Amino acid sequence: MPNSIQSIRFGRVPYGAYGDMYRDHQGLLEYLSGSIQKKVDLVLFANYGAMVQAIREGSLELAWLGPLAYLEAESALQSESGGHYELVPIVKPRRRGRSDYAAEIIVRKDSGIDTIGELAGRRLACVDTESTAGHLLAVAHLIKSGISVEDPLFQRRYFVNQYGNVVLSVLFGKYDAGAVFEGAPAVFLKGREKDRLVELNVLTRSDPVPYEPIAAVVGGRLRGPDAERFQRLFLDLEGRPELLKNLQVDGFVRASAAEYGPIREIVKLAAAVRGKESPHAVLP
Amino acid sequence: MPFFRRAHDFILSLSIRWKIFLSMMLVAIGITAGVGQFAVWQQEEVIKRNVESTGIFIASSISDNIAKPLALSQYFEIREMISSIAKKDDRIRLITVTDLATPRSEVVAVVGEESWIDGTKEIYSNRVVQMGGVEQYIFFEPVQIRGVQKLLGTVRVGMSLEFMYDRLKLTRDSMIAIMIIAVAAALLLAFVISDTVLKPLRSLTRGILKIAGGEFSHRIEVEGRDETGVLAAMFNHMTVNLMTLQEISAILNEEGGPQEVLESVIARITRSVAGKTGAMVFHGLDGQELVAGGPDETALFYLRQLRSAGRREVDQRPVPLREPGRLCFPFFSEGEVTGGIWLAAESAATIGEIDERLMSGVADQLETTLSKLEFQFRAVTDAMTGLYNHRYFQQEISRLIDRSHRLGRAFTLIMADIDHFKNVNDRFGHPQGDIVLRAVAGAIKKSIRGKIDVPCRYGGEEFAVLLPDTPIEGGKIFAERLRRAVEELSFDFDGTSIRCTISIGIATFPEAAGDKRPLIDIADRALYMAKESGRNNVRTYRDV
Repeated sequence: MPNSIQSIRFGRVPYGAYGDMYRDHQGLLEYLSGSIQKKVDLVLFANYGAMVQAIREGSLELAWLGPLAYLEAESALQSESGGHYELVPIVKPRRRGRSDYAAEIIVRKDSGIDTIGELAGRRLACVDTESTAGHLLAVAHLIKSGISVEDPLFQRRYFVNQYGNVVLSVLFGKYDAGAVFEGAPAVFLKGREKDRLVELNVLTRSDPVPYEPIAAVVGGRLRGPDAERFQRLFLDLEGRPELLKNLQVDGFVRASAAEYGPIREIVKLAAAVRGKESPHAVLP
Repeated sequence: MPFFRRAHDFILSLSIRWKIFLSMMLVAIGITAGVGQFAVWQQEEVIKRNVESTGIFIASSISDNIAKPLALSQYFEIREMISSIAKKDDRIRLITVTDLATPRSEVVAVVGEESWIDGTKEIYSNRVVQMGGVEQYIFFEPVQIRGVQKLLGTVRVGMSLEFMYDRLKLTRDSMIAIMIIAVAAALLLAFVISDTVLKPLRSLTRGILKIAGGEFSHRIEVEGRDETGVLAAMFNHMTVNLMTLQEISAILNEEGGPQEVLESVIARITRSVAGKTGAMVFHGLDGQELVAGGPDETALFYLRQLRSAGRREVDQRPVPLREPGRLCFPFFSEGEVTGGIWLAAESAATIGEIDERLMSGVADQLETTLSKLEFQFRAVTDAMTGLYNHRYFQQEISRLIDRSHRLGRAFTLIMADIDHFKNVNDRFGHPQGDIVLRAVAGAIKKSIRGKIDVPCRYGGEEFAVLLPDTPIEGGKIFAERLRRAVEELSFDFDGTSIRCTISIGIATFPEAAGDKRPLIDIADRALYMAKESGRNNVRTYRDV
C-alpha cells in the first residue's frame, strides 16, 4: 500500500447502539489490521448521506454502504474526481443463504391495514431518505403497487434514523406502517419486546436487490490490488464464524457494480416523492 | 433509688485500678459509640441528600436530552443513552422512558428489572418506595421540548439505597473496630495510669503501716513530682514532724522545771524547722520570764502585751501572731497568757504550712505541760516567799527519809526562825514584815545549792531547808553561810534602818533521829537553843 503510516478508515451506519457497533466490529478490525499490517479504524456515520459525503471528501477507504447510497457515492465520485477515484464494490453479505434482500412494509396487526391500498393517507416510518430498504425501495415498491405519488402517505413519511426505531415505532403504534429490510422485526425485537413480534404483520414485500456492498475507494490510499486483497480477506471470513456472527451475516460473496444497476430505476421512482415529506414532521 | 444506691455502693467497693479501668472503658465506648452513631447518621443523611439531588439531576438531564430523540422515535438512541448513564452509577437501579405519543403510552426504553416497570408506572412525583425489599428513590420527570406545551413522555429514575446500607454497615463495622482498639488502648492507658498512681499509693500504704507500727524513721521514696510525689514528700515531712512531736512528747514527760522543759523542746524543734525558734513562760507568782532559744523581741513584746492586758475569759484564747517570716503561738491557761513559742524565718522567708502546723502542735503540748508544771509549782510554793510550802516540806522530808533508808545516805534538816520578827510587825506593820520575810527567803534561795536543796517556809517567820546527801558538817557550813547572809540584810522602814538576824537549828538524818517527827522536833529544839543562847546563832542536835 502506498502509505504505510495512514490507517484504513472503514465506514458504516450503525444498525444498533454505537457501543454495540464497536464491540461487534472489533474482531473484524483486528482481523483486517493483522492481515494487512496496517491499522483499520471503524468510522460510524449517522446516516448514509453523511457517509456518502465522507467518501466524496476522501475521508474513507472502505465503506459498507446501502445499495442506493453506493450508487449515489459512486456517481458523485466519478464526476467529482474526474476518474481519479473509483468506488469499487468488493463484497456483499450473505444472510440466511441470501445475498439480496427486499424491503418490507410492516404494520400492526390491529392497525386495520390489510392491503397496500389501505395505506393511503397513513403515516409511514422510514429510516432515512437514503436508506434502501428503509425508504427508497419501499417507496418505489408502493408507487409500483399503485399508491399515487400525490397520496398524503408520502407527506407523512417520518424518518427515525434506524431500522430498529422503525420497527419499534410501528410496534408502539406511533406510526401506521414502517419501511424495513426483510426480517427486521425479528432482528430488533429482543428482550422484553421479543414476544411482541406477533403484534406485527408484513403488509408487502418489494422485489429483492443485492445486499448492501462493501466498497473500496480506489485511487487514494488504496489501489486496485489493495481492493482485491480486501475482497479476499472478506471472502476468507468464511472460516471465521465468530467474526461473521458478530457482524450479523453468514458470510460474504463477491459483488459487482453491474448488479446494482437496476436499483437506479428504483431511485428514479422514489425521486418522484422526494421533498414531499413534511420538513417539520417530527411530532406525529 | 435502691438501684442507684447499690450502684453507688458497688462503685465505692471497687479498687482505684478497677475504677480507672471502668471509667476509661466507659469513656472509650461512649465516645466511639457516640461519634460512630453520629457519623453513621450524618453519612446516612448525606447519602440520602446526595441520592436525592443526583436522582433529580439525572432524571432532569435525561429528560432534556431525550426530548428530541423521543419526538423522532429514536428509541435505540435513547436506549443507548440511558444504558450508558446507568452503567456510570451503580446506584441507578431503574430508568424508564415512556412515549406519551404512542396509543398505550408505551415504555420505550428500560434499564433495570422488568418487575419494577409496572411498580413505578403510576408514580408522577419524586418519592421513596419499597421495591424488592429495598428502599428505592423514584424520581419522575416529564419530557417535553422547550417551548412546546405538549408532553412527549416521562422519565423515571430509580435509585436504590442498598449501597448506602452497605456503606453504613462498613462504617459501623469500622466504628466497632475503632471502638475495640479504643477500649484496648484505654485499658492499656488505664493500666499505665493506675500503675503510676497506685505504685506511690502502695508505697504510702506500706509507709503508713510502718508508722502505725512506730517506725518513724521510715521514709517513702519520692519518685515523681506529681500529686502522689507531693503526697509522699508531705508524708515524709509528716513522719519527721511526728517523730519530732514524739520526741518532744518524751521530753515533756521527763522530770524537769519549766526552764529545762523549754530548753529541751527548743533544742529539739530547732532541728526540725528552718528559722530561729524560742519560747518563753511567765513563771511563778511574780510572772518571772523564763526564756529559751533565740529571743525575738517582736514575739516577746507581743506576749508581754497579752500578759499585761490581764486575765480574760477561758474561751477567749489569744490569736497567734502571724507576720511575714514570723509566727508566735501564745500559751493560754485558765484565762491567763502563760507564755508562748515563736519561729522567726531567716531573712523574711515564708514559713511553710508544715512548719506552722508543727509549731502549733508543739505549742499545744508545751502549753499543757507548762500549765501542769505551773500548777504543780503553785501547789507546793508559798505564795508570800516563793519557797516551797509546808505541805511540800512534809512530802520532801518523807521522801528523803525513804531515800536515806534505801541508799544509806544522810541528809540535814535546817530549821530557821527570824529573830524578833514580831517586833517588826508591831512597829512597822505587816507589809514591812512581809518584806522582811521575802528578803530572808531570798537569802535562803541564794544560799542553797541550786536544784539540790529544798528551801521551804515552815510557817510564820520559820523556814526549813532540806539538804540532801549532806552530813552535819555540811549542814553547819550552810547554816552559817545563811545566817551571815541574813545578817547582812538591811531595811529602811520609815527612815529607820533595820537589820535582821535568824536563829538556826540543825538535825541530821539518821544520826539525830530515826523518823520524821523526831527529826523535826530535835531540829526545832536546836533552834530553840540557838534562840536561848542569844539569837543570831546556829545550834545542832548535838547541842541539845
